[in-house]
Amino acid sequence: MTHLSDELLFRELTGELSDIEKNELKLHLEQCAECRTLHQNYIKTDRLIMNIEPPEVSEEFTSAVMNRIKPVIIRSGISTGRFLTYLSLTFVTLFSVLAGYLISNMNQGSREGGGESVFNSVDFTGYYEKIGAVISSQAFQIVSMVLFFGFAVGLFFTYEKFRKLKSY
Amino acid sequence: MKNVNDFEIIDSVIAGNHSDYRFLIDRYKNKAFGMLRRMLRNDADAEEVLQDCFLKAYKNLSGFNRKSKFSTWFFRIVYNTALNRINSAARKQEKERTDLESLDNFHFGEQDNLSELEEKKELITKLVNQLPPKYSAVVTLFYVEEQTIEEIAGIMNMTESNVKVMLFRARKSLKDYITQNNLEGELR
Repeated sequence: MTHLSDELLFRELTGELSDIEKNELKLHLEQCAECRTLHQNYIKTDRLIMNIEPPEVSEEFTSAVMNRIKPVIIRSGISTGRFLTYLSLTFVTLFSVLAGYLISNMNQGSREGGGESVFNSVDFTGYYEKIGAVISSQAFQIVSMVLFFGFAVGLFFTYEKFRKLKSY
Repeated sequence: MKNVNDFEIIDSVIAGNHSDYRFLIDRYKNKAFGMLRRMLRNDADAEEVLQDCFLKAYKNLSGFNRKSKFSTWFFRIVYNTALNRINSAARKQEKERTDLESLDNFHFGEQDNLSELEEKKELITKLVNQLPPKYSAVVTLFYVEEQTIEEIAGIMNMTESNVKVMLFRARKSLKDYITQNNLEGELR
């Protein structure tokens, strides 16, 4: 009688036996005491290894890791860079909206008053006049307003991140 | 947090709730510590390396592509970090010793006062700890962490057949030692 090989019993462990092989294994184990002992020894070994309990790390381990992570969070710029970007963009667009509004009003005032445009009253070169016209245009103001709200929302969420970081 | 899965915790951490990372640490610290202790054979080193591993995992959390389980990804970090530590300590010797070496000439050391061990389970832990680091890692990942052969191959950057060869050899060695020393009766 051919005895069971260690390889076959290993394939049983890794679940690689076909149904036919499983049946043959079962039949052989019923008839052969020697292989039954071998099989039992493997099963006992497997059970013993499975029951190894993981050792425990020191109690302060989690806190120690979290303390090492904290500087990484702050350094990583999860919020800092974005916060400053949103802050500066919000101010730039706010300035654009206000500048557009003021220049537009001044032009309108000078036209209603029968006077010349503010750009004509000052000795602007043509270049500055064009910029002034763009800034005072409605399209520019609408775009600036949209951007302003976008950046303000970004600023709010970034601030929220900062707040969470502070409470961490 | 027991019912929350790893991916949900990761989402929360990425969303800015950094302190939630502690739940992942608590979930895996002891399991990974067991593997590291077996590979490095030194509690202090194992704990220090484990801290580094959690830090590395944190830094790369947003890059974790979720194609595998978090545990598989994390154990890969643990395994590679441990291997780097071993290699930097004794690069040449250890590499020769652990690179799919044969277990033919391997012998478990003498076990002191076996009958006096309070916990018989300690013996099997000691035996697994005595295996060469890679074998010990395979055994731990398969039996204790219940990773599949495929997952272990991914963690250890090996072919599945190499993992099987190592697991087969380690299992046989442990079985032979336990049988030869009539420990199977004691170790129930």
